[in-house]
Amino acid sequence: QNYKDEYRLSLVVGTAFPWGKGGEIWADMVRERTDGRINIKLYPGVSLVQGDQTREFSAIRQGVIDMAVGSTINWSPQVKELNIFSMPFLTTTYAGTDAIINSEIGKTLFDAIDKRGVLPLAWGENGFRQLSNSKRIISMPDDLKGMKIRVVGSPLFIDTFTALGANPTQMSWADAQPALASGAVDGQENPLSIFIAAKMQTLDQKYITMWNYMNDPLIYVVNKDVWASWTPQDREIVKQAAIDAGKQQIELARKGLIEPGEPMVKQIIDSGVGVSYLTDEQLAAFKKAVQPVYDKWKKQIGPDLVEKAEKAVASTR
Amino acid sequence: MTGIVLFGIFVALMVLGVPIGVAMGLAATVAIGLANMDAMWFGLLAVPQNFYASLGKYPLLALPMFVLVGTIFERSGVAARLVNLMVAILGRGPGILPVVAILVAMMLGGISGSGPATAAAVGGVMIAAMTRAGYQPSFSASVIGAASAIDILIPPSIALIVYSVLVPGASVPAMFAGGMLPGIMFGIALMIPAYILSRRHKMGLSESHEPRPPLGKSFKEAVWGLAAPVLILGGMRAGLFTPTEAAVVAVFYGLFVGMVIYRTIRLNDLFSILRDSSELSAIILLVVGLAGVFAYSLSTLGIIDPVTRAIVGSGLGEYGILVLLLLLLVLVGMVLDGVSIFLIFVPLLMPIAMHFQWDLVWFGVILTVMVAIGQFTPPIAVNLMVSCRIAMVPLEKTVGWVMWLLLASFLVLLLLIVFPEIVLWLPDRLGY
Amino acid sequence: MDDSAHPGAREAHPSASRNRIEDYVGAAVMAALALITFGNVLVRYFSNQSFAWTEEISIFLMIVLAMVGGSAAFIRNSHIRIEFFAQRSRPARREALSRLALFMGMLMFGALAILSARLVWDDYRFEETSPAIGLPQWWYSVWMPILSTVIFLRIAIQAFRHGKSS
Ligand code: NA
Ligand code: NA
Repeated sequence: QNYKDEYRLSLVVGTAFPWGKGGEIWADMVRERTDGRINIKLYPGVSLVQGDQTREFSAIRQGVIDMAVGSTINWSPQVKELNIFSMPFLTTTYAGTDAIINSEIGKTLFDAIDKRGVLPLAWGENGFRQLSNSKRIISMPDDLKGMKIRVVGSPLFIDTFTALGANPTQMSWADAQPALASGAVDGQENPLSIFIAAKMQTLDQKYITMWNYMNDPLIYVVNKDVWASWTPQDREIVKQAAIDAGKQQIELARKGLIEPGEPMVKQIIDSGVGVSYLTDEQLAAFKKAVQPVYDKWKKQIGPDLVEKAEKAVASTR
Repeated sequence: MTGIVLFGIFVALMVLGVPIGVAMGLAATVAIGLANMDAMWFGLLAVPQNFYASLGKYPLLALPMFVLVGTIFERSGVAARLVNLMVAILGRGPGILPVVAILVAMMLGGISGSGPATAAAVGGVMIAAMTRAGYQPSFSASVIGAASAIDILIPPSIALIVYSVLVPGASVPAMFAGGMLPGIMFGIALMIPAYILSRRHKMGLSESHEPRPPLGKSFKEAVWGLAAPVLILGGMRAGLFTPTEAAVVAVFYGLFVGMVIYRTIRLNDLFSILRDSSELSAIILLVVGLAGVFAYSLSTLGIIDPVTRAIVGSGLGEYGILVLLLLLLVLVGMVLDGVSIFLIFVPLLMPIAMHFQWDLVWFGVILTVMVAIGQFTPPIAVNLMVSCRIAMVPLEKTVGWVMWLLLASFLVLLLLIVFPEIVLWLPDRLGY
Repeated sequence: MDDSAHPGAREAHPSASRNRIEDYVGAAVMAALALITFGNVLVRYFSNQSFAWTEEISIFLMIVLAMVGGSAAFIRNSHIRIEFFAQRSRPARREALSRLALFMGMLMFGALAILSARLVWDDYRFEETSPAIGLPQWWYSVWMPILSTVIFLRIAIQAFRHGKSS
């Protein structure tokens, strides 16, 4: 068997973030459990494809990257089914997310990834994405009018934010930070854990709207040739480690948000950022504004799949 | 081992005169292939992936746009009008024309993004006039060669754009703001020896009593050029434009000035302007793309970590390492332009900068100053070559003059290293 | 010229005076980039429209610009290089070095043509879509092997002429 000295694990963000931590935990577990046979080096910032996170998936399939913990958003240009998690307001609760992932939809999505040439092993979570900006409190779609919002991933995001009256612009995470700092874009959407670790209040982000409009899971994957080069025992170890690391990672991603009083939100408010929640009517206004986008993408992703997801979510209420 | 192959092939090809980008790309391709013998296609799909990904960045679009701005203003004849204005203000007394040349180079630096074009523009207007006034051509060539090196420091700067694209966390506006004060200091530092040397060697006496051009008329003509840097930097500062947009606004402004006001650019000149700026942009962009492949192989070969550890653990300390860097970059700066140098060295130097927790904007500006110094350090100095060719003097004859200019710029560099606040004050004030 | 290590002065080469197809395409792409970006500024100021999707097109055009202009630069021998040592060699060695440079250029862009063709095949086979507009990715990427081949052929022609003239 030909083992490489080192395997390249791609991540969008580093170990200061739950996402990067989830990669580190996996790498450490694999090294320990294989007695150092499989050594993994982390490459945060998607540096193996010069920071272009939408190329990450192809690069894994092509052996440019050996392993990755990646977001469904960044891989949706290659695996269109993954857009399902980006459907605005498909679910606004963790129970809903869990229901989708742990149902047969999760298996269907893993099959879709497998079919596109990459081997999926386990789920993680980036988290519910909240909207932040430098200009004003956003409580109605009208407040977004003309605002330049940074998004990444697929045209679904462009559609969603265009429908809300904003001016979405697509850029990688590496470009996003200077763009926010210089005011070239006004706002962005990301989980609060990313907001905190990237210290976005120093990037002029003064207002956050807690709208839970989507939650992007992370997926632990391996290049298929690399997988084939390992012994069956080592494969089992890597896979189990991915599952264990994913569980720990999801706990990390939700830490501070599921406890009473939401300590993470409190921490953000203490740093001088205005955090606002939506009333039911306000939430309904947002949902109404994006309904055409939802309907359009339901057709594109596959009505069957989306309906199954809707049912899974409904079962949690 | 593969690391040696990578650098061996790269350096050998480069020294033999193979285009820089091709040398980087080929060396990287061989190294990637050797390191991935068991992988599909020897892991070589990393080559097109990284080539495409390094070019496919929206902020990079500022580069061709600023190249276009530079070409337009170069053809617009703004340099001659700026010289007129400066002479109208300062006169032609002994030692004044070199100061004028430096000032005009700085102003042009506020429009154009790269040095040699400035050297050509200022040299074309000034050297003959300076010779008539009694300055030795070797002296004029030295002053203009040095002054045009400031161009990569004074925003807009293509080298700073490329640095920013390579370094997440150092935005283009922050780099531009960071280069501003050091660029002005650099200019002032050059004026002092230029003035003293002219007085001491009794140069510039013959035309010192010639009449000055009329101030009002000179100002009215030059103000269109003077407004360009204000438009570019002010528009960015006010948050009106991103750097790319500021560049494109300057493109249309420059065309307006050249075609309507100065009437120096005719409709059929447009094609040659577009053609030349597209070729010049492409030359730089191809290196950017192929350097991305080089960066991939560099980071996956596992050589950066040990090299960083060796340098950091060498006991040289921060200042020792900066001195070493200075020697290295001035040396490389003699033969290579700033963009190529950044593409080669920034991936290697970033871990060191991170280790010492150097501010990345400050570090980028310091590197740029080092490269700028290299560009007028004999025996091989890219900017000096241009001005010497216009002055028709051999480069060796400039050594006696350039020495003093180099001394002045080293003092500036020293100040910037000892007081990083000089670099960081403006970006801080502007909130970048 | 020693200063050719610098992207700056345009040197007058014997074959440079004539405009080639690359010159026209390069100029057109440059004009398009300026107009699209300027259009973006105008639209942003005078309306609330989203013009963001044009960024994907601009990025694509910039890559075309790099390849097309790069090809033109091989005609005029204006790529960034260190000619310091070549400059100081005897004519015979200089000739050999100049052939080496052309050959290496052919190797690089030949390799890029083949490898990027493999990439396009992947984009096509796996129905990858572009991240901003959602167009088939191969519509964009297919130009990489095509233009790499153009550069390859351009250098080959240069090398052939070179051989004849020496
Ligand atoms: Na400049
Ligand atoms: Na940057």
